[in-house]
Amino acid sequence: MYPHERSLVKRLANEPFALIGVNSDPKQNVLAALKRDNITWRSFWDGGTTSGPIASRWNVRGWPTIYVLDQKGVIRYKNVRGEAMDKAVDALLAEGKTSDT
Amino acid sequence: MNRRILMPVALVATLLVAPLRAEDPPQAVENDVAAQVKTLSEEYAQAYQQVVSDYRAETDAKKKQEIVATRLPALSKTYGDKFLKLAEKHAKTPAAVEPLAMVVQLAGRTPDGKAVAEQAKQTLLADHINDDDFAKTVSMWSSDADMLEKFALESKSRQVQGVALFFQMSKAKGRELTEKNVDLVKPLMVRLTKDYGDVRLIYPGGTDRGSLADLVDNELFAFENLRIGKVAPEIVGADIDGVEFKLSDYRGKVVVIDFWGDW
Repeated sequence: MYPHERSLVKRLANEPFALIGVNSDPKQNVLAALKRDNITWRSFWDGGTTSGPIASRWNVRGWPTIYVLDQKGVIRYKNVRGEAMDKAVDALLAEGKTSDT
Repeated sequence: MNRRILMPVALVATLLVAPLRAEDPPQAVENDVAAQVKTLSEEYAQAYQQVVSDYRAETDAKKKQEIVATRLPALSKTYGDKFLKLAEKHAKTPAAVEPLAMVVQLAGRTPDGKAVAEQAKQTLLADHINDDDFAKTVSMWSSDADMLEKFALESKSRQVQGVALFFQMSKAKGRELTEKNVDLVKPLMVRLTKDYGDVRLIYPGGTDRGSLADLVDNELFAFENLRIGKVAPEIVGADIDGVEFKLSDYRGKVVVIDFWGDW
């Protein structure tokens, strides 16, 4: 999972795109994971449990759970993984470009 | 680290109930067993973590395989047996419920433990459906509509009734509340909030998912706010370094929100 996300973040470094994590691990595990897996994107830290306030509000039951938002903040895709995530993001970036002109 | 904090707490809890134990009232026995279950669970979790880190440290693929094939089942067996002993010692009393639940979980993970796990399940059904703690085990039958109905209607425990009704609602809802199923599911949600709102959904081992009222509220919130086409709710929080930020800081960008964990 991480390598894919890393390459997505790298490929879109100059685009209006952000990957935001919400992490449910105990603090020392997050720090270890960030270092070991070279995780470059920013995450909300949800208090160290899977029933933290953000995951509860977002009704998250399984991990990973993915939401993709367009440039207006509207939820457009859920739980797209791998290539499907790339396609979803690319489609929304293209949509943003056409609505600019 | 956690264990060092927990051990003195368990000790203090034991000391507090000690004066009551001359007459051995059921509540004191239950507290005592709960403390033992907690200590055993902590020990198991620590031993499990050790296996996981050994697995990660091992570079040889064959040895990695061996760790998964032998050490994990051995661990489940060792602790499954400990919990079974505890359950047998307190057979037919409410104190046996949590140890039995742990037996179901652990024995189920070993190649020759299936029968032991099944036996523990049958014991739970035969002796414990009126015990409040049985509510923690209802999730084991979450896909069995007949059992859920039986628990909701026949158990004398409000906790058990509430949790059973919650899983009936979850079953009716499926993956998420939609325009199609909302009319069917909503009445169950209303009943949960009204009659069982204060009951908590707790899993064996103590993971607390919150009160049924809050869980229903979260489902309704998801229906109103987290469907495709809805503006994503704001998130205000902090990163691992404690620096605050908001989801809306990223408005104007395409955003992937990734709920992740390193496990």
